[in-house]
Amino acid sequence: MHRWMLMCAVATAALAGSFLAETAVAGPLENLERERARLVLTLLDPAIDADTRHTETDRARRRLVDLERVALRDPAVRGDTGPVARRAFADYDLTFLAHASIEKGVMPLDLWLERVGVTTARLMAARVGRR
Amino acid sequence: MNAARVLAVLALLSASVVAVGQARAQEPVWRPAVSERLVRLPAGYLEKAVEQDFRDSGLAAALEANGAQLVGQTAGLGDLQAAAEAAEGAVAEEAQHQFLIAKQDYLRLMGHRHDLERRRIETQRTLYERLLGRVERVGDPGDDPTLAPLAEKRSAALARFENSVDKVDMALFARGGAEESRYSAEYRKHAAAIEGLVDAINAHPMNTAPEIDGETVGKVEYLRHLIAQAETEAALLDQRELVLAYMAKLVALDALALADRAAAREAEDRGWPEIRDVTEAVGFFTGRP
Repeated sequence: MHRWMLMCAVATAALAGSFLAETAVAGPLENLERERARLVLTLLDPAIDADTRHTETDRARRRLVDLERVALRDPAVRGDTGPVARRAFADYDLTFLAHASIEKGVMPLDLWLERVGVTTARLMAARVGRR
Repeated sequence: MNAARVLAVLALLSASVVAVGQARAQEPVWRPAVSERLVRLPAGYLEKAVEQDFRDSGLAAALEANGAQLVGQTAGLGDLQAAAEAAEGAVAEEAQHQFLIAKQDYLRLMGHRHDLERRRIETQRTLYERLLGRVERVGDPGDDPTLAPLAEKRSAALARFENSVDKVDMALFARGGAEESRYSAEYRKHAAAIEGLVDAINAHPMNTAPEIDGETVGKVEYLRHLIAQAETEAALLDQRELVLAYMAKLVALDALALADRAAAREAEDRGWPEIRDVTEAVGFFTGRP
């Protein structure tokens, strides 16, 4: 009986959590972050073939360009001084990946890897081992 | 007996306290609040907002009513002065008396006006001082120094973005396969309209930064200026009250002179019995005529 009540409570909490997650409104910066993460996942996904990756990346990049423009031009973002905004504007290349990669003439993945600190030189210098 | 006297005095005192309390409750007031809205208002609009708040108060209504009364009273004074100067004899005395009463009423009304104005100035000064304290304590929301680095980064990002827009469009859409997105097409249509409106807002006189002696100043400096302005207004009011006090003194002297003249005339009309010198009565005592 006690276990059954505990399970009910956990289920109720989970339902409430999912409801809150659905009703939370994401801002332009959050939407941009989500779309960028999806683009990076597509670029890194080893399960898809080259053609599919190219098609999906192209579509995602165009969507990302629009979202980056929305985020930069939105008056609400201009007045936003929260931690998300501070983090977003701390690194233009990483946040506005689509614009920055075209501006620099590099692939989005190359630029992203460089900004997160994964370069060819560092990979070549890396050794396989146990910590 | 003593207890009855004490009780009577206490009853009188409590009655007077209640009367004073009621009088204070009926006094016209202006209670502006140092609200968040007022703190966040642009400095150029601050004074106008305070003025608007005052205009909606009971104190402003009382000042307006007093002003209307004073206008009527001042107009009547001129007529009465002319009548007092033109009249002669007993009529002149009555005209002068009326003129004195009118001057006294004018002084009473003007004194009341000064009280109301002092209340307005003191409330205004207190409000500006509290606003200044709050702005100095929490900072002007418009120019938070901790936000300056973020604003700089945002400006730099926007400038870099604007410079790269054409290049990005060329790279994405010039290949022919991709069409311009709905957002880009719609945005271009609205951008010109938005720019025009923003320019109009920036150039609007209600949105301009305040100036002191032709120089643009910040909110803190402007609040200090407003406090100093209230101080000078209070000093000028002191001077006006001194003028009023001298006027009251003159009215009192005029009233004394009028009373003196009236008493002398009455004495003259009634006539005093003629009392001869004491030496002329010596005959009654000595028996010699």
